[in-house]
Amino acid sequence: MIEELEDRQLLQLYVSGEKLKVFNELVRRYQKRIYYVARRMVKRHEDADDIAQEVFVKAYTALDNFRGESNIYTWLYRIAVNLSINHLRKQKIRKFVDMDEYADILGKDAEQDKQIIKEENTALIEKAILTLPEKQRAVFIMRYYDELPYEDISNIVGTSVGGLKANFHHAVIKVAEYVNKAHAERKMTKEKNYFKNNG
Amino acid sequence: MDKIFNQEPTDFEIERDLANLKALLAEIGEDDKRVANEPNEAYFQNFLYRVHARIEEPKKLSWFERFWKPSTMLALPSIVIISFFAFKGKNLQNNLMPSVMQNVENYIFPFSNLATQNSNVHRISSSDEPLAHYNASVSLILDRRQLKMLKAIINEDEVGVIEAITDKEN
Repeated sequence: MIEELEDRQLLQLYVSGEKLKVFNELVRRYQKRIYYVARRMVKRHEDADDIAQEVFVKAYTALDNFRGESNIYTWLYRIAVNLSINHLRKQKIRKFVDMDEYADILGKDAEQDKQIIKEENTALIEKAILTLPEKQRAVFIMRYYDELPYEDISNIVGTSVGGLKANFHHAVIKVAEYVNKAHAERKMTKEKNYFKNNG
Repeated sequence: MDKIFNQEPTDFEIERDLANLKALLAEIGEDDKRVANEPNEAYFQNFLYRVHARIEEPKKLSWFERFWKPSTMLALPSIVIISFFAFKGKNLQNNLMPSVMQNVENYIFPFSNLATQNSNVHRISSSDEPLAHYNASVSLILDRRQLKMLKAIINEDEVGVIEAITDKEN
């Protein structure tokens, strides 16, 4: 059964001519991981969906040239991280170009943020991740959620292992600080609302 | 904090701070693995289908790419043709028009020495003069009545227009 094959065996099957079968199996095997990397990077489902699909479209066209020097999943991750970072940069430029619109968005976002903070079940860590710079965000996501080894992350983002460790450590500290602060604010808001409602 | 950021952390430090973060999240009841509005399982079941649909669809073009090619295909030859004729036309005008205009002027002003002798120095000095010039098109040669009509139209002078018409009829 194709589902039981390892990535390396899948590649051999691909070379032997079972291209479509192998590609479909790769999509099934990695779609969730790739989607969640993109989702945690760019936040919106629509953007993450677009990026995840694009990852596999790119893989489909480039799989013939894949030499197997790295793991297939690190290769897919690399595409996903690069596309996500590009997306974030484009978004930044778009926001920079249209400052009026940006101000509106910020206003709305701030309003939404207030609303979200009021909600009990909001994942603070998600919001904390969004405050990280792009590369740090990618490193944090891959290490924290997918528990990828530093060597693999190093292959994906093209940074030395030492640099990655520093990046990840900074990210962990920043996320902890954000969560701590946001939790304290949330607690205060809850208390205020309690006193307001009960005189 | 600066001290932490300026040096490479040891594995122990990373693991310690990571454990602190996880403990904090557990303490406040955060489910750190979930994302807001998580897609349902059907999304992933249809994912492969959507990827294939995307592979088969023609490449999405930006508005610039979409309009650049056809408009270039249309515009470039047009520009080349127009430039060619404009260039050629100018040469033609330079070479042929003086003699043509000379004949026209001879026809219009048979007794005018200025027009017949040196059309190159002939300039329109007042609006009463006909708009005949060796560089101008023949269709721009207007007589007094036409000029009057034109002026009346420009000035939106209805009486003037009528006068020009009656003048013409007379």
